[in-house]
Amino acid sequence: MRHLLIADKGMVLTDGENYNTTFDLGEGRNPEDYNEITEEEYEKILEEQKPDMEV
Amino acid sequence: MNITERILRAKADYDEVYDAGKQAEYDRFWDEFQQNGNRTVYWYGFSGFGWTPETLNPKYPIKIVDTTLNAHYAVGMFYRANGSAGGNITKYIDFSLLADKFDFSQVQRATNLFDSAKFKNVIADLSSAVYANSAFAGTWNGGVVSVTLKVSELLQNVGSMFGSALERITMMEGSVWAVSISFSGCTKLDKASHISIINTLSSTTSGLTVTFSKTAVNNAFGIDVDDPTTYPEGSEWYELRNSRSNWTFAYK
Repeated sequence: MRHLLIADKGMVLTDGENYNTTFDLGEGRNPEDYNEITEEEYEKILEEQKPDMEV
Repeated sequence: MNITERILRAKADYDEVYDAGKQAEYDRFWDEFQQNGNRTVYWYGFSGFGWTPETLNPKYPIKIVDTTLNAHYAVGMFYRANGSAGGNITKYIDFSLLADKFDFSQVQRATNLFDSAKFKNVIADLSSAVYANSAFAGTWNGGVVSVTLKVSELLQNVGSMFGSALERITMMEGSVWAVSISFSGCTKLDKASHISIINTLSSTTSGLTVTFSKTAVNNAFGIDVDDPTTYPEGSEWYELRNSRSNWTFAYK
């Protein structure tokens, strides 16, 4: 049975690895594995993880 | 020989000499650039301005063979290719016309391979790739709009692999996704692409997540992914996602 998790407005859901507004959970995944963070927190994480061109 | 015949003859002679000179210049350039076909490293080899549908036409077939994971021989190979200052470019390079000249099947590090390249119909067998981050990302130059792709269980690093210019992704037979992967930036991805991708998600792995653009899925399937009543049991999207119940589907 799948669980559909939808972030509140202005929030982002994460399992610590993936950051999205909607998660349709596969087998073995628990809603408890996901937390909501604010969009501002997410933007900060994105900035830190920004991929660079490989040189 | 009358005067008209003489003029036509002279023009034919001129054209013949011109064509021969042009061919000689082509040979000279590519013999140098490709070291008479012996060049093995194309790190950012076709990157930047000047490569157009007319000029990107190697004389010798190019098969990149990464000798180790850290060889980097194909990294950024077409980064911002087919560009001009300010990104003001005219035509897409139709990579299918060059498919027999490029072989990526033994590339281990495909990072930035086609990043920001204004190409269509890219054919890329990346079945040996371990790294493919930003391989088809970037829109500075228009970006890659369509790709036929092969990936394998070897793939590990896929950060920002696909960019927002992509409209069609077709997975080659034998492809398998066995790593969490995101197409969240691909807002224009069509229905066939979603089906092709989902059909190649590994059916034996667990704990992996595939992320799609909410806009793309909603448009392609005529649903609202946030509202399950729009894709009830038996509907195409319901059945597709259930065919890979071991995967978490995410949307951005």
